[in-house]
Amino acid sequence: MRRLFDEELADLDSSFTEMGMLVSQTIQKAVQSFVDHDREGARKILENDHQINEREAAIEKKTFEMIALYQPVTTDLREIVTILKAVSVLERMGDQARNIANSTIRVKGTKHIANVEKELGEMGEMVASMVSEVMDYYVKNDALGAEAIADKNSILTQSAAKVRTDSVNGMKEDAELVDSAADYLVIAGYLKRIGDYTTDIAEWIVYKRTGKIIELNPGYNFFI
Amino acid sequence: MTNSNTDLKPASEFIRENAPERFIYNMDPEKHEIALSTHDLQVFYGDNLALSEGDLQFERYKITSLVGASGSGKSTFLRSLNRMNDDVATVKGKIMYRGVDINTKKIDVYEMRRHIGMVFQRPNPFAKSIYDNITFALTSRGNYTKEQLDEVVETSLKQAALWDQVKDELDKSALALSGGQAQRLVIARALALKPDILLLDEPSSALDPISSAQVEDTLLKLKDQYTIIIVTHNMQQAARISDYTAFFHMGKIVEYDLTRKIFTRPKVALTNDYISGNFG
Amino acid sequence: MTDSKQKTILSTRDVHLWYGKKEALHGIDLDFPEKGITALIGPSGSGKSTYLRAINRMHDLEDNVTVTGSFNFNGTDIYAPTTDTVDLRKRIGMVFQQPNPFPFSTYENVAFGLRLAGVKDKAVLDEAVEKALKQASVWDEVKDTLHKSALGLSGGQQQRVSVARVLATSPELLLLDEPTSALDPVSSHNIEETLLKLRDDYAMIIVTHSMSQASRISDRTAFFLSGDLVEVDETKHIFLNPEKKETQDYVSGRFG
Repeated sequence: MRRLFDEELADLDSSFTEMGMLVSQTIQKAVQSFVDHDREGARKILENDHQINEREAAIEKKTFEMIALYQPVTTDLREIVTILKAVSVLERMGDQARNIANSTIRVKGTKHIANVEKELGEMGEMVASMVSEVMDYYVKNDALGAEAIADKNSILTQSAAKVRTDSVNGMKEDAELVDSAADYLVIAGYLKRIGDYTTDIAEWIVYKRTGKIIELNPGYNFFI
Repeated sequence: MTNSNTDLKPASEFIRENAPERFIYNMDPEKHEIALSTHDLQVFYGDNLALSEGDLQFERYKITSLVGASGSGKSTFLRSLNRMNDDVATVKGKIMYRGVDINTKKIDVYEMRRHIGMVFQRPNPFAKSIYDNITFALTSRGNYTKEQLDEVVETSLKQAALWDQVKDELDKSALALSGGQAQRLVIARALALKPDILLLDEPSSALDPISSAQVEDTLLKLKDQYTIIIVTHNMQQAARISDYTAFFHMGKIVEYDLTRKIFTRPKVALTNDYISGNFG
Repeated sequence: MTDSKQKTILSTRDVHLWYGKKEALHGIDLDFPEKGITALIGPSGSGKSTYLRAINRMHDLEDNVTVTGSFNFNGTDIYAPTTDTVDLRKRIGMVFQQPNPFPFSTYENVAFGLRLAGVKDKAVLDEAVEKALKQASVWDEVKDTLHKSALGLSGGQQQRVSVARVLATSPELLLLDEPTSALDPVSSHNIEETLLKLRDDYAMIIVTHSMSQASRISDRTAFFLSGDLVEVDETKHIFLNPEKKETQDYVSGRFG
């Protein structure tokens, strides 16, 4: 039997995954602009940030309506709750991309550390692919895949630690690197935060699939 | 923390104080095709005013729910729409249908009810075959060939989503049908007259959830071709299937709006209490 | 409320029921704790009402019904030949779908069971009637019209008087067969409030077609389908993480 609810849920699902893809692309572009010192690209990201916020608001409004109109239970309720929780995580990822773009625009240093920027570029690619991967697990309802995201996030943590060591060493050796290196530290922090957010979404995917609330983020709560 | 401003009130009270007493959504005739509208409808049982200030517009090809407690006037209102109250009550005010006030003496009520059909709470098929249940109203008031009748039976049963289940036993007594099937037969019977507007008075309250879901499914399919007005005690049903909802309370329409607004952001405090099940 | 350490008031094992040759229940094992509300849900023909009525031997009144299996009610074998059904129905009270007051006063309706049991003392009756009506949360509405016909009350008030009538005989278990399906939402709400107040003191089993009612008021939910018990668990589990696909489909309104 056809249920209006199922149609609306399918629509909600696709808006949510579309928003996930948009966020993933935005993160990738933000990191690319930083590595390329492309202020114009960074400005575009700031201009388009409202799209992510608007999508979040529209999806939230839709979930409230569906809860009020259909009073969903069991898997239906879990799916809606997952979207409602995960959509605000996506929005916070968008905020991190915006922070990266802001750093790109105001960066003052003229001297750079090439290997750190390379490392940051790789971190950016990795974190963007984690975001699209976690969205894929959402679509496939793959709780095992979602749990595996936590392993990738620990690799990201190691990269962030390496950026930190290299930046600090750079600053010790050459005072002219301090401006750039300070930004490297901050960007690595933003990227690491996004990685943590993907594990938050992964936790909700596990909830949607199994009804169990788990903790995938074993408390690396320091900034980088 | 102590609050220096003693006038501060909890948000819920603030909302209550600022809520309007009534809110009636007014359609823009440019954007919404209005199938039926009532203007200052009043219904009296003897001297007792059971409904007043009945002003509603019904959009074509939409489902409108009328909700409210027993005695709120919603069924009284519904029954007035196709003059079912003529014998028991005095109905004042206008009911406009295709530019004509149908609440006047010169209207042929039987003819009007072919346009505005009614389905009742309890499935009430006649003690006749499934086929005759549908053709009865037609054959008693006109001449039809067997082919024409066959076609009407098939079309209306298909519209009511019952054809596949009964097509091989059209001669069987309608009383042998399950509750959900019987209610869909009654809907098919109303559709046989090719009405424009379908009024339903708690059509699924006597049914179990599965039969009730079948009836809801049928109504959702029918709204492509019919304007549907339904009285229901089941708030979730109103939320699930209707485009507009009118909330009745003590003989007045308190709030009328898009269903999704009524269920997420009602404007009137009374509506808010009723739909959230807060009846204290 | 659903403390697993709670004493069991009713334990049924391998309950089968036939209407003639047609088997309507295929071996139901179900236990009920001595306090709290258990909801029986399922589509029409699932056997939930048939099972409920078997508990206080309502099927005795029908020809051609065969019941087998064990019904252990606080040590009483419900279907033992020596069990007196009048006494049994005093201990296991039943409230029906349609409010069914007798055509006499509210007072006499509530006092009926006690008079049947031979209570004649007016003071005892007065006290029992008031207590039962208070428990059923209808006292304030009827206290001034106790000696007027109960038929003049609203549907919701009549149904609460029916609950009071059952409570007056101090039952150990209350069976409710769709007690609100004939009522409007406000009256249903009042009945639900009444049941919620009673659940600390009574064991109740309610058959309901309203999934939201089951989720609002019951501590445990049992899902019946085609004469089988598919799943029984705490209500919050049934509505969030049911074990069985059939349960999940039914409670989320996915029918066939």
